[in-house]
Amino acid sequence: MSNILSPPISDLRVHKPEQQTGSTETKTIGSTAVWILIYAELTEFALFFIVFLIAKAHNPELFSAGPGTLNTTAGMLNTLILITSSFFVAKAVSAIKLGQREASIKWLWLTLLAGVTYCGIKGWEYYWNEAAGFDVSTNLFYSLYYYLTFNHLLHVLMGMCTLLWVTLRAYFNAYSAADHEGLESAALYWHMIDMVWIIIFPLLYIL
Amino acid sequence: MLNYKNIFSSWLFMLTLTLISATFAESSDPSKMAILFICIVTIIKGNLLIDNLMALRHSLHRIRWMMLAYFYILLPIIMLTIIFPETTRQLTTL
Repeated sequence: MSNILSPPISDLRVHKPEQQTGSTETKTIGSTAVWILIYAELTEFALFFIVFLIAKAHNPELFSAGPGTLNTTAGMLNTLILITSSFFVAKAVSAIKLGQREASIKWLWLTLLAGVTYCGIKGWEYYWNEAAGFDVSTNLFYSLYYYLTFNHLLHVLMGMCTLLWVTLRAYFNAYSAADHEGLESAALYWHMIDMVWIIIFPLLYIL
Repeated sequence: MLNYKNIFSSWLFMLTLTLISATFAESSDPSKMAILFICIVTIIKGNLLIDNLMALRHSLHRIRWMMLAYFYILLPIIMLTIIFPETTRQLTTL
């Protein structure tokens, strides 16, 4: 019954005839494996957010003073950079869909550059905290701050390794306008990293 | 299919929303209206990312809604737990 009402999760490549033109449009949205990975990662971060909120409710004074001691400039710059990196990777996917391999590789390198910049700013932020006398053992707010941001940093590094791999594969003609599932899956994973940071930034630095 | 105009305008809009949100970081204890505003801004940013940058607007509805639900469920939870800390404390005290 459920198979009649909705397509199976494995059928993520949808071929729908357009009603007006009668032409067929292929909507490729990455592999099933990457969607499972994305949902698993999002669930993991959602649990971290809930732990943070519960700790915040039980330690209101500590957590309301916490954001004021963080380097908001670094947090804001990293938000702008990650959003820009999502723009770059979306352009890389657009380019490969149009068969513009060279342009796609250029956008992928720009995405990687944004990832390196993010890591550099995060390193500066941790150094700034250290100089101000804050570290993972300072208090519960800082423990959770380091746990969340360092975990996110590890995901950024993993995303960068994946993007480097697909960039090299694109360089060796592995992707085309008709076949680019690997590149698109890597791009979706990168967008997921941005999604999580979009929530981390207000949660840690503002609220 | 990705729409190039949408990608660019979404990127610019998301950058603008981030800069607006950052101005609230100056306040050590944001008001309830500020918390509501920041949560709505975050939901809008998530929506733009999912629909235009990830290009899920015209994709399989189930996938799109599962992604959107992350923002539509999590952000109200964040907002309510921050606005009503006493209730959160009572609910999470063993």
